[in-house]
Amino acid sequence: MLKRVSFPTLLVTWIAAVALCVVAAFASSARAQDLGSRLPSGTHPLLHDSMPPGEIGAIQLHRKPELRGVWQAVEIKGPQGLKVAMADAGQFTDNLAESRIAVVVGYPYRLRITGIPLEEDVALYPTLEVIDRIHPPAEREHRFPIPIELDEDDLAEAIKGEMVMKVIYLEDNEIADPVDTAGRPQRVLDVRPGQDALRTADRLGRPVAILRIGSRVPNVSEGQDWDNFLYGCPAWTTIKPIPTKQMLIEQGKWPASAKSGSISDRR
Amino acid sequence: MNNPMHKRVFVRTVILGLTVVPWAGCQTQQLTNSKVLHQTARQQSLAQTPLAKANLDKSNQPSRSATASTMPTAGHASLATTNEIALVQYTEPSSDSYAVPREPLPPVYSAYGNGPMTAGPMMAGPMMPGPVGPTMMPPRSMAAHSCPSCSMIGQRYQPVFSQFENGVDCSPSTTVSCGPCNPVDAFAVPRQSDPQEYLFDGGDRGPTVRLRKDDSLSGLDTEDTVIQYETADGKSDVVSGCRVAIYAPRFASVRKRTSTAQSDVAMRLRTTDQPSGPGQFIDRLPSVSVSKPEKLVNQGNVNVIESVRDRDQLVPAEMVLPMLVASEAFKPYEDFSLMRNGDLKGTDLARFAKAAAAARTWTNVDELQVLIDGQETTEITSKKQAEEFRLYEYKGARIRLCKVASEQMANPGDIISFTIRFDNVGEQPLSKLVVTDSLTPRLEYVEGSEKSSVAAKFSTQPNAAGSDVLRWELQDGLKAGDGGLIRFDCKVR
Repeated sequence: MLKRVSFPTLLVTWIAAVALCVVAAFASSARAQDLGSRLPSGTHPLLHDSMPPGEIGAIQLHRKPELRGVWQAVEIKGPQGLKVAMADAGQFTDNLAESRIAVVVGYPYRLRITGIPLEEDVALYPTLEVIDRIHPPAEREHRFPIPIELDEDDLAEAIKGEMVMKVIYLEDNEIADPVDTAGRPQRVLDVRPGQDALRTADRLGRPVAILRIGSRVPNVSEGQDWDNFLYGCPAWTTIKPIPTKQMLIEQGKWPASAKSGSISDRR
Repeated sequence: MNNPMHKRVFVRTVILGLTVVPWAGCQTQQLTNSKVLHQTARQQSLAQTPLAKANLDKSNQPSRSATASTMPTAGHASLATTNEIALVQYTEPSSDSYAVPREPLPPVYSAYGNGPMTAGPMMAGPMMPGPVGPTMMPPRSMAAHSCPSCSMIGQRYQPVFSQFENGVDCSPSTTVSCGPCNPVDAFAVPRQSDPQEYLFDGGDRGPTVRLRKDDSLSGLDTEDTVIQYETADGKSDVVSGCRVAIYAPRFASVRKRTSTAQSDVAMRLRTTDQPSGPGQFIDRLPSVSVSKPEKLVNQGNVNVIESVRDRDQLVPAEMVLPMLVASEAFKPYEDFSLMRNGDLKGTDLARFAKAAAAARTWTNVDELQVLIDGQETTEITSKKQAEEFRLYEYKGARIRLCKVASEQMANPGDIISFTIRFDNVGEQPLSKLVVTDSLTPRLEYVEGSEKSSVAAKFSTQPNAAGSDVLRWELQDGLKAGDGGLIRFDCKVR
């Protein structure tokens, strides 16, 4: 049976089989590349964490027009006694009474932080940049702010002269860690100085905000541009506090007929 | 080419090429044509459905109210006859009605003494500021328009960031128009969403859940909620229910510390000239990191048994009730006819939609996909959004499974109640019913919270995602027309 097949036929068949295998391999690799990592090898990310404050947000606004002019609620948390002031009208305002504010996506904000535990006479001036938004249900934006948390380690490192960069990202719920986070500090993943924090956060979810804490202080006497230091004081606004039951009673909005506890105090 | 063998190889290669290339081209063309024809036929079929007509009317008249439509009707006879499905479906309104509420912003004060100016209505987000006085308002609000490099002062744009002045010149002295500053262009996009911000539970995600011969399930992923049963003629099957979405974003952070004296170069000992041998035990000490004392971070709380709750008195034997969900004790989110007695009414569709509201996605994975006897059904809607309410009623031995949640949004730590309603909508009794719900990693089952209106054996086991698989084995079968209710609580992690 084998003797009937001539050598040229075998050779052509073999060449055709090899060609089909090569085509199949190319097709599978191309498909794997499409479905694989977000950043194929040999490409360079457009955004990286070494960019100065404001540049990532500006690029985001150009890339995503739907982000332009969007207000995003953030909540700034810190150790007990921490006081936060925002830049406004060319100077820092009084310390915020409410930790929840709304900022515009894509603009850098200069903050002043005082009341650091055990360092009462030290002031830090971190920057906050919201580079993306979240999409809470309408009229419930105040209930889902982006949490900006400064822990004592961050503040201590910044006071020592180091630069601390935190990229806050929205977790992908499908790959989220099955740990209980209610009432606990925000989970932090430390990366090495050579790694890109923005890229790491992009792998774990969707980066939404960048907080940079350094030891830089304004030095107007030596000619520093105060307006540049404050990044032009972008617009921000306070958010009405979520009314509690006591606040509603004081305002006369609590239904007298309703039984106690029938309406959640939190919403 | 003088060699005859080479000549034969060449001839055969040419013949093979002339045969394969046109054949492959014909196959590709046929595939493309069949795809186009299939899509065209699908679109035509969709356009004829009452639901599509209703959606068309709805898109012409955008409304925020949830609408629903039922099928089939006489105009949809082909779908009903070929697939034998009576589909009742809820679809979200068009994206236009989900635009961001456009409320006017408070007046924005200019630093140059131009007086208050009203920001464009497009700029207003849903968050209205509190009692903001002039001292609290930014003097140079660049939020009043969309350009990242300039600010609208009065009727002209002024650069805000000096570093952008070279890049974009929006000064009034130049005649170049500032394109990106047009607020209409900036906001002419529909409101979008992100599935990552939602918790999903229910339905059948990823590979289809199938039943093995030993009645175990394969393809049961997280979020999946299915019910398996056995018909009177001994046939086993498994179906999935609807998908519930809860808005519950969770955040974490990545931290990097750098300093001027820090180096990323890994330092290691290249060589050593110290002889190592017995007696030099000092070289064998553990590393510093191992012997470093760890401080106590947290101490677990000891839960004291609350004896008051266990103080149950004996009751007469005739008052002992089985573990049932009291029919009159329906919670507000589940108190409609579908959950009470299995009857789906058109007036309840809006409430059902609210209880099972879903996220808008842009992937085709979440679209309606139903296979009946290996035949794909017609897609009802072409909207790229998740179908939050999948309710299939099959003829013959079929069962219906639907699921609602008590909350549409939740923060970590909140408790959400889920209610599963299952009904035997077929024509023959079913037995060996098992309801299985695999929870997502961010949902934690609250121990002791499950209740069932029918006698069932409840068990949990961990799944691969770190959460639980809840399983109810119904003790008795279901007659035609009968149904049951399962309720349990979950904590959002």
